[in-house]
Amino acid sequence: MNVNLARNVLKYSSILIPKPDVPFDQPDSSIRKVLICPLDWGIGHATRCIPVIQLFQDLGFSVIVAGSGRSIEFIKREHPKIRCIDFPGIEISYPRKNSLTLKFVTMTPRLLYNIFTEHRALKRIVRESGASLVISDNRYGCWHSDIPSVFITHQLNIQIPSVLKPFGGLLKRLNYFLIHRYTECWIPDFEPHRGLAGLLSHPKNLPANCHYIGILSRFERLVKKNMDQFPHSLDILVMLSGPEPQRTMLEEIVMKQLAKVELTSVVVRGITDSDENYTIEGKTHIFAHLETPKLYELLARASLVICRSGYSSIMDLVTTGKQAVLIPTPGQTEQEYLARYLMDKKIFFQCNSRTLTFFTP
Amino acid sequence: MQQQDFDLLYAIELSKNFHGMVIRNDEQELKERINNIATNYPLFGSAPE
Repeated sequence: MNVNLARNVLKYSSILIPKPDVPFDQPDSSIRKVLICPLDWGIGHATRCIPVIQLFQDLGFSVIVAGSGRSIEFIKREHPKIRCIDFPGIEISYPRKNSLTLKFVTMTPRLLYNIFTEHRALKRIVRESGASLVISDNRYGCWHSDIPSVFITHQLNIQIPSVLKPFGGLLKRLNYFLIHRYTECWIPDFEPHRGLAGLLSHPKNLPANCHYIGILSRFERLVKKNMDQFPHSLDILVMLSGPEPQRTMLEEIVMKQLAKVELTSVVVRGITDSDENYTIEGKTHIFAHLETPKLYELLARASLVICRSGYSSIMDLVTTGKQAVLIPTPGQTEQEYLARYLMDKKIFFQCNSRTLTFFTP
Repeated sequence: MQQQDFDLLYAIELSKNFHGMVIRNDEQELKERINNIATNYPLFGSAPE
């Protein structure tokens, strides 16, 4: 591994010559600019872009991030010096009751139209920013015909509600058609043994421009530095995330449960529009959000993590090596699949109806 | 157990049978991909007009 590392350092030092960063009011056309566009459905796509941003910066590129909502707010907090551009995408909310199918069907025309408008807006942003490479994290309209563009996704096989299965083939063809618009597609997973995302990232026929790049976690570099420094002094860390209103609904459920038990816990609410932090009865600490180093410290101290089964959260869990209980967002077929897949592999426990049947004596 | 029926103590007890896993990414694959684009696409490095 060290030999490979040394070989690559030598190789890249000759090809990618690092250049000093310059302020944006003094543009330097010799600096290669990378435009990174994370999807804004929760902050998961933004968090997994952090290692990509860090690597591009290490290699001497200037990074620009285009996005919206919680996603771009997260990037601004984590990397205040990075230039951020407002680039709205389609907004999505999940129904309070478990009936996502109708919503999915009614949203399809809007989703397709959004790809078209997104593509047009991207061309303008590239022209104005001078970017020479586009990295799109699951934003389907962000390819460019004049410069290389990369699509990051773990969803080659998109999971859809069972009543829509007859349309699965059509959806897959559309997905592959859009992926082929990009120079390359990077899959944040490893190839052997169906990886961490199972069938989602391991279809029977992988498009020719797809490449596995390993998992992406914002905690990777922190783990390498100091994971063993922190003793387990926290019983439970709850990391809330994902779309509303389901995020709030889970928060209410978990808070009621924590009030009944004598366990030390931290709840990270996963909201960026508040800075309110407080403690309940000296044992439950509530944070609106936490920056990566502080969240990492709490992860390291926690004996057990409770979180959604979003793929970015799962990549964070395996990077930090934590035990966890996964609670999929109801009606979110991708999260339901991941939680089921990882429980079948005996990696993480998940809460759903099948669990109860399986474990009740 | 659906989300609304979540029972914390029950979940803690059952989670003891699941030990997670540890994966490290040394970023080599990602560097390979960046290198591939940098070498194969000459426009990469100069902004389009």
